[in-house]
Amino acid sequence: MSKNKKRGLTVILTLVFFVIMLMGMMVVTRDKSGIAKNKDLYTHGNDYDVLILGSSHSVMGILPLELWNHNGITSYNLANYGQSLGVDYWVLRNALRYTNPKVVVIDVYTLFFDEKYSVVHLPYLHQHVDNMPLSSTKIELYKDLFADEFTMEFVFPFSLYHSRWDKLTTSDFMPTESSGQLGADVNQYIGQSLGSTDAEQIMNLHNHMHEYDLLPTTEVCEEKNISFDYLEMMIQLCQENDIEVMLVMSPAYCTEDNQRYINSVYEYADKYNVHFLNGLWENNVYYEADFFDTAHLNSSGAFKWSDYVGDYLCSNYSLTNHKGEEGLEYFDDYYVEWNNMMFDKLKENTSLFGTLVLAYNPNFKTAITISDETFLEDMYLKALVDNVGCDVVIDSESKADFCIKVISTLTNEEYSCCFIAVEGEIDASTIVFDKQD
Amino acid sequence: MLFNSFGFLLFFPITVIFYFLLPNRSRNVWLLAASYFFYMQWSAVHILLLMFSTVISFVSGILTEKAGNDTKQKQLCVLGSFSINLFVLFVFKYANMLPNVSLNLVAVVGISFYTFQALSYTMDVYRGDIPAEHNFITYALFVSFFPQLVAGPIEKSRDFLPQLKTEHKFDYDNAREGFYLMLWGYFIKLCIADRASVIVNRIFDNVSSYNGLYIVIAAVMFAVQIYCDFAGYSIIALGCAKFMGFKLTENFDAPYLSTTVSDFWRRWHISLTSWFRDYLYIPLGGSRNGTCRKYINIMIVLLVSGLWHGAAINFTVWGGLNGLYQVVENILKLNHKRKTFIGKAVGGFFTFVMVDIAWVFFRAKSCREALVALRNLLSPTVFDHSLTFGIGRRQMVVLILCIFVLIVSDIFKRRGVCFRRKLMSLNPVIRAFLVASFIAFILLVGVWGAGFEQAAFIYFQF
Repeated sequence: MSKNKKRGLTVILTLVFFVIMLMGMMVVTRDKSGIAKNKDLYTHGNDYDVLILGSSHSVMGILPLELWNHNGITSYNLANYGQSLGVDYWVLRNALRYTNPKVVVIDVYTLFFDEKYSVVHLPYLHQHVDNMPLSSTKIELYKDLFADEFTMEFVFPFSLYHSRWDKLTTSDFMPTESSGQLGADVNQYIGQSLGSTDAEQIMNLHNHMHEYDLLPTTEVCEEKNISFDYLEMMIQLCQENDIEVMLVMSPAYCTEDNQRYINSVYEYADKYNVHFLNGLWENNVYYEADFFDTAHLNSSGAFKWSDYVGDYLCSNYSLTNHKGEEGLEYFDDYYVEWNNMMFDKLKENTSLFGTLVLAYNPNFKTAITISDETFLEDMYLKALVDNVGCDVVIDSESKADFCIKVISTLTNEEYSCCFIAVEGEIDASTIVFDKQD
Repeated sequence: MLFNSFGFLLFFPITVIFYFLLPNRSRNVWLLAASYFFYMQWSAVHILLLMFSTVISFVSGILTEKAGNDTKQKQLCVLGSFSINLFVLFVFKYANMLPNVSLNLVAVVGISFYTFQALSYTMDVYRGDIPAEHNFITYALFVSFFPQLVAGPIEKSRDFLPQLKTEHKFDYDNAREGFYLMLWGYFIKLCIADRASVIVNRIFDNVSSYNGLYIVIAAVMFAVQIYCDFAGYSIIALGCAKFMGFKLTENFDAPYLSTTVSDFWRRWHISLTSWFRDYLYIPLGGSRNGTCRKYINIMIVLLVSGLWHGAAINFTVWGGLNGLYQVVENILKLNHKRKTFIGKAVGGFFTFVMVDIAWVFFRAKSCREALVALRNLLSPTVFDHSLTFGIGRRQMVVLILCIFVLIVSDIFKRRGVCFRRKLMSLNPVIRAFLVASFIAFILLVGVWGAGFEQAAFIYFQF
């Protein structure tokens, strides 16, 4: 072999070794949460009749598995934390390459974002963009969304993820499983919401809620920002593809400025003849018990809102109940897994308030025993107990102050826990309950 | 444009490919254009200063040559070039040091480097070491050759100008060696310097909260950081130049293995040290005018060197301390070569300690902060979980391993063993695997990309 050939082969061999190593490093180091979130979208794309787009309000508030359970709707949640309408547009464009939905639900909460994407929420943007297969749509996305400073971390995500090398665990070397929640993310709030400061948290929430005054829907924002452009582009894109659109605003505490943005949506709903379900004006959730914070529903609220949205979809759109259909068994499997996870979260929860929030579940049968009726004089505690919707037994002989028994109707698993009031008056701001299994 | 930026990864191959594709007569024009483009990535306006310095020293060179044997006229030309160049350097670097002066001028990247390179040419022509360069493109490229433009090595005209007039054909061995040099430079910059900087910044940015061992670790890590940062840049520069067939001056020769401070300064920032030796120490009389005068000259050179590094008192103190060490070594006759292992080890240890104490002044934002650091260094160590190094355990382990590799490499270098050459003699398949693994390691473990501010090379500010 001539010297030049040998040199050429060495260079090629070096490149081959390097490319193999780089590919391996890219796979191992990448953040797996995005793969888990969107895995089913790419593997079962044609199964979904409804796609859900939006921000944290929707990723935590509209649960595809509950839509399935309650209405037999097959849906996928493409919303994410801090997701702007600009990102929604590109996520939808990409999703339409792999899905064939009948309805697209667009959460309009982030209309007040006057930016194409939220810089502080870049990790969530990565969850979508890094997992999009390379396509003309993805290239257009790069051109549209990213200023130069962020382009490289999206074009070559290894530039971001290689710094995970010191945080790798065994799971990074295994194939990534689907999150099993069809894009939604209920983990963000269940079980962690109401810890030792829960009473104070609830107090603050209620103080906010009491300031909550709804402006008349005629009060709209005067200047339309870039998010309105993307909203129109999304509606037009859907209509060009014979996809129906449902605009939605989840129940939340909203500042007057935010409300003006939301109220402006009616104009677009009229213009394009699409439905707008404004949760600010609906009374399906219980403001005393269904919120994790002022803006986001907790698990109890998410169940109720999902059921409400599901009913609205069934009433206003031609959607089929797919329950029992062949090939969709994984919906039932996911639902059971999810239910079990919720049950585990309930068991792990150490707070009375958190346990009461989690006890509201269509698949849980709950019984509550209280040692002293005066506990229910506390309006916050009473709100949570009432929210569970079960009979409350007063047993003055009981050694514990609160006993909660939960049976999962899907698995017949049973769990009981008790709480003892250890200090403070009967007032949510000072009372502390200790858990005793 | 930093060497550790994506821009450079595009810029360098394009520059090299066109350099070899173009006919020889156009190559310098291409390299000059590329060098100006490279420089303009920091500040397009400041290219005017670079051009100004180039024109002044170029004209001065021709006028000096034309003056023939007229010493006065020659001196006038040299004086003109020095005055104008140093005035520009003074205005853009030191004017803000003066009381009641606030020009708020933005720091000019690499101004100390290219000014000194231009001045070395002026002196060399004056001394008759080289003829004046009549081709402006060649001369402009000498001043602004992109690999060494912003952080050296400061090349001597007699070494580098002839290379710019020589035709460089693509040579596989040069390219390969240049590539290996670049990889080594990236390794010590990204895997050592930038990771050590996290520890250094964490502690020095809050120096009053740390004490004892924490300050010792920070000081040692800064010694490692500044060496790997600067040597890393220099080695990448050497590699880039080598790829195109140019040979630049090696700027570091395992300096921390020195057994005396004088020895350290012969091996640290060699191109600057030799510049000061040739154009300041020797003109001042060097060691020819008696011992006392020699010590004064050493102190002058080191104080000026300190000032060259930064327009602040702490840099001057750093230079002064290093000068003082050398004077004391001379007086106590400690600057002889140590022969026994124990002698070398003890000498090496004390040299490192002394140099590192001086580095504290270099790193601190002020002399006051440096003194706080040294005071806290001597206080007992109070271990506190809230006091962290800013990096996790795995990162610390890898950093220590990388530093170990560097030490081993420096020890072998001193013994004349070059790993790079050893690598070249290996079986091609093994070599290909090792090189690919090394690149992969740098990419995986190195500090680069999003999420990290691309740490600018420390020496750019000088």
